Amino acid sequence: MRRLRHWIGTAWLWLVCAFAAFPLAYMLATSFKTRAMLYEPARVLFVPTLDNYRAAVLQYGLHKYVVDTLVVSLANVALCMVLGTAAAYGLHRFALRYKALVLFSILSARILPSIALVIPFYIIGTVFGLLDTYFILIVAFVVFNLPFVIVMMKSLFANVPPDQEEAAMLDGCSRAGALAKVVLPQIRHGLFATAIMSFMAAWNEFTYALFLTSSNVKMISTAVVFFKTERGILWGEVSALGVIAMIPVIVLCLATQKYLVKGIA
Amino acid sequence: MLLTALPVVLLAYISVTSFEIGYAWSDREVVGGANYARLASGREVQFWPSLWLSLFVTAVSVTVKLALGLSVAVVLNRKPRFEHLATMLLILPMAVNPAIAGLIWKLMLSFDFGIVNALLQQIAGIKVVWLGQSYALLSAIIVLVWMHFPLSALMLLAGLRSIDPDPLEAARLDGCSDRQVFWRIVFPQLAPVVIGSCLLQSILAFQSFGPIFTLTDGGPGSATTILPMYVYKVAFGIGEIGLAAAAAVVLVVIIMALCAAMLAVGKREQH
Repeated sequence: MRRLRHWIGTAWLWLVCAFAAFPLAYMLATSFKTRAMLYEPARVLFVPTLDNYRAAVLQYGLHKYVVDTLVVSLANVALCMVLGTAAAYGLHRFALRYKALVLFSILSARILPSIALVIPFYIIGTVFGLLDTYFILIVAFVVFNLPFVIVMMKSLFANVPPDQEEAAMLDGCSRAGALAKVVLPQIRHGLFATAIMSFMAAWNEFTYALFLTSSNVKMISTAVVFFKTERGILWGEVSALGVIAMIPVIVLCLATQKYLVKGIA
Repeated sequence: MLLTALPVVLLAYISVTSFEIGYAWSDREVVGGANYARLASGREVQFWPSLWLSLFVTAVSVTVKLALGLSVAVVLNRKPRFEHLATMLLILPMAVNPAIAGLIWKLMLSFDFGIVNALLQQIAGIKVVWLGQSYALLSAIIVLVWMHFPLSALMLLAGLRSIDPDPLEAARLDGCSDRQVFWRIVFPQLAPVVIGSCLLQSILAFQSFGPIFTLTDGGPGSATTILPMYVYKVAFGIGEIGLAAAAAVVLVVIIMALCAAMLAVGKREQH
């Protein structure tokens, strides 16, 4: 009886895993299919074609999307890490009034609905003529990513015993020096994981990218939306683009799986 | 702090103005609570339905996410073979861009050339209009569940792993069945994690925009117009930014309340 239940449990687990992974596998397969093959969705064996990838690059300038998304995401990570580390360190080490309130407002900003916050950014963009520039998108991304970095860094700082830092300061280090030479090296793994997670968040962000950019700055997450033509959605090209958009995220996700799971726990 | 508070304050200000797309920002008029009155009065016929629909979608999808997550977490907790591979497969949906998630499912659920209908026809000889009037909401819920259930599974797994195994063994030796052990001893200890995961998932579900935008665009008609879709339609479809901002403030307030509840639960757990 127990054995049977065990077996059913394992079967269920793999069924759910299949549910989780199948759509991505299906997209991968679709990206290698010709348009005619779309009408045979269940066909497993086919001669793969690279036409969709070629069309995505040559006709739709996929590389421009990749470069722009990289620029915005990396700028966002750099800014967030610098500002976030400083802010988290301040929150952690210095007595601050209304600490709980500050933390609450920071945390809530991370999970506020982007469709609501995009409205003020859109207005700022219109009034100052900043729509469709790297600048407004980077600022918007910092606003939604910074809170996350602060919370993560703060929990990392909590693990470093304060006496080491104090010892370094007694030996003549400034506070910034102690932070850079003693504290940060100890939490470098967590630091790295935080940077990667905020990179992924920026790379995958959709709402701000959709409403704040158009023809000048091209974000990969919104590119899929523009693949609707009079002939309907170009599924092959969309799938190719989806695969390319996902590769960096999945690589980073698997590489930092350990930290991700730890971060959730 | 100023950086994150500023957009919210600006949003609140926009919500009491009459600003519309196509007019200069300086042409706006402060209209006080007029936008809120319009929403509350029901003259904006889509507002209340979209709010109720959001609550419904959140309730159903969160329940399914937690049930699915818990069932998977329990099996994973037994450390099955290839556990690492299973976790890896489970994490995949979390890595997908929300807009792309909506599109993949739109392709899979397509009436003519979707894989789901192709399989259904093979097995049961039927085809379902997944994105039509009657099933679009179900499809939207499936996509939301797919995107976010792995997060619940991992959170609950971490919760299960942190439970002390000794009392469970003792109870088993005293003749408790597995089911009794789970519901009487494990589940009460897991409850705070379940509640936390439930609130987090509610926050995620309540503000879903990307996947619904690409899957159904709120349609057909208004069948899947949840509150975020309503905000989008009013702001960027009709262009009445002031009115949309008022609806967005409602959305923000609900999310803030959920967030405050989550922090309160977390705090009680620490004490």
